[in-house]
Amino acid sequence: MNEAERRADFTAYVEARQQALARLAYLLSGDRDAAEDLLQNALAKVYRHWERIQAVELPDAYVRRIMVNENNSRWRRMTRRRESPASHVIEVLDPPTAAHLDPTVALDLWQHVQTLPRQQRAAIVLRYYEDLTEAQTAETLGCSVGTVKSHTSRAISALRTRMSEATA
Amino acid sequence: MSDIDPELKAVLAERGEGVRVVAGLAERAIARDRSNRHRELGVAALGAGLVLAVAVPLTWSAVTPTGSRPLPVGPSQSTTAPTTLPSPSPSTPPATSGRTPATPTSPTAIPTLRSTGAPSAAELQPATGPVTGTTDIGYVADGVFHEGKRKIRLPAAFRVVNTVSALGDGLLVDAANRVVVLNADGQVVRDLPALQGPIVVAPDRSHALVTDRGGSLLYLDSSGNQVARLAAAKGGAAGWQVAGLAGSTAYAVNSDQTSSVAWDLPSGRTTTIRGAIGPIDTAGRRAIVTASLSAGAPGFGCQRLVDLPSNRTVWNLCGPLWFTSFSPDGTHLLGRGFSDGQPPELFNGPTGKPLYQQFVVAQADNGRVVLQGGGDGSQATGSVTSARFGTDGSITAQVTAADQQRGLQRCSLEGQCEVVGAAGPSWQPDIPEAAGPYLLAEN
Repeated sequence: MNEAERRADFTAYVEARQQALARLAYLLSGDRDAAEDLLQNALAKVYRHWERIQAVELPDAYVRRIMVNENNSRWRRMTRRRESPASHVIEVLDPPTAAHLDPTVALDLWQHVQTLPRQQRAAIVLRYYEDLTEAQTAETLGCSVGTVKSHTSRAISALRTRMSEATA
Repeated sequence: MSDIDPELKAVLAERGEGVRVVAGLAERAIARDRSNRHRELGVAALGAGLVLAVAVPLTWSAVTPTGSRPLPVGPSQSTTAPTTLPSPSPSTPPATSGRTPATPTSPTAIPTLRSTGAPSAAELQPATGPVTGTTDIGYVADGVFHEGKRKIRLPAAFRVVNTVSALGDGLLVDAANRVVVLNADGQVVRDLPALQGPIVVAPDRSHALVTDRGGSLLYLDSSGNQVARLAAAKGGAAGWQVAGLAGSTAYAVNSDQTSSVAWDLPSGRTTTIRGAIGPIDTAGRRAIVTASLSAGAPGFGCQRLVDLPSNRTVWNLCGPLWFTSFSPDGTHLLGRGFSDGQPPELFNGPTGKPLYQQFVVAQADNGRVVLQGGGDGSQATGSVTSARFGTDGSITAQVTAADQQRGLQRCSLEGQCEVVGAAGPSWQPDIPEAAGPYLLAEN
């Protein structure tokens, strides 16, 4: 695969998957600027290894793993440039609240999700948004299934407690 | 399923629904990869393995026999035996050959130094205002290579390049999809095969050492003609990564980063060196050798300064410092105070804050940091994006200025700087860490 083919192949993949990847980046990071940084850096790494990734691995699984690792990396967070890019690649709109959800409850729950420790937040995003199995989540997080269960359980417990406090 | 599960799924779904991609993500990612490569090339051979590593928790017990945190003093003594290295003297090719790691000599006390951030070093003081000085360091700006009074206009196809090196009277230019040798008039005299990794040019600019896409080392003359080749298979892994040229000896790191090779060019003999070698000083007398680039492996986080003619380890320095080049006279080392991918346990001090700033200069004799700057690399101004020693011992650095611009500064070891190139915008303003308007030459 020459450079032009590699670029075209990678571009086609990104164009097909960019909405889903951007949403995952935002849910993991909870912030537009951080999501942009996370997404672009993860995809830059994917591009670097594209020949290997597209040939032997499921790109989505690989990209998810990179994004989670990047987001959990204390180092990455610390060194993330705080300069704002000249233009943005993603925008975040206020979503319409689902019919069966109380808007206040939905907002509270989202805010509480953002306060969860990163590993716990990643676990629930992968389980409840990406619909990954516990085994797939464990593989993405680079931990055991037992640890995924623990992260998920603690996250749900914390959310339940905070929501109870909020409505008390 | 708990009572909160359906609500959580719904909230995540609705929040995700609000996210839209509004610009070319693939193009940005490709541009960012290019930008990252610029930065990593600055870290040279040593960095390649670690830059992509996922942060792995590391306890200090991995780098200290006692398992205790490093004390704020140094040097302490260890009795680790030094690894024998080949003599790189131009007139003295390595005495041994083959791929067997050289055997240790008799045990000798090696000073083991711990990076502690103390004593405090001078701080880089970037200047502001108009251009007030000049630099003898080569650089490309606006498609023109400058070196003192010499200027070479690059062909239009090479206005944005990854690396530029002075080779012979011309240049070796690595652009996105093409590597070429230009003559002194900027005309393409030779197309080279696609390359990967760092490029090193001999101090007299007569030869270059590069790695082709297959991982083989190529030794080129000043016209880009191949003089010698060391096959990738010789490394026993995926190939070689250029580390340095000293006299008639070429050095490269095996792609698995656990060993290196000294390749005697006249005879073709090779000698294996344990660890990753590089940088190497201009005279070929001293080199940095890193035992391991794998977090948790013995020796990770430590670098040795080796006196090449005597094969003696001068010191073993453990901490986040990451040296990338020697000063021309070999007395100082330029590098980084941390690197992307390093475990926080390595670069943080007891207070949880990084021991060093982004850019550091240390004394080669004792590893002591004498100058640092750039903060943690994230502030709007003052970050050092690239730097090189000049022949006079000054440092020419590209530094971030206001409005996401970058300027060129020439600084003393005491940290006093003057502007030698006006601040200008990055070539890719959408990516904050993209390369700036100045591309420093590799040599």
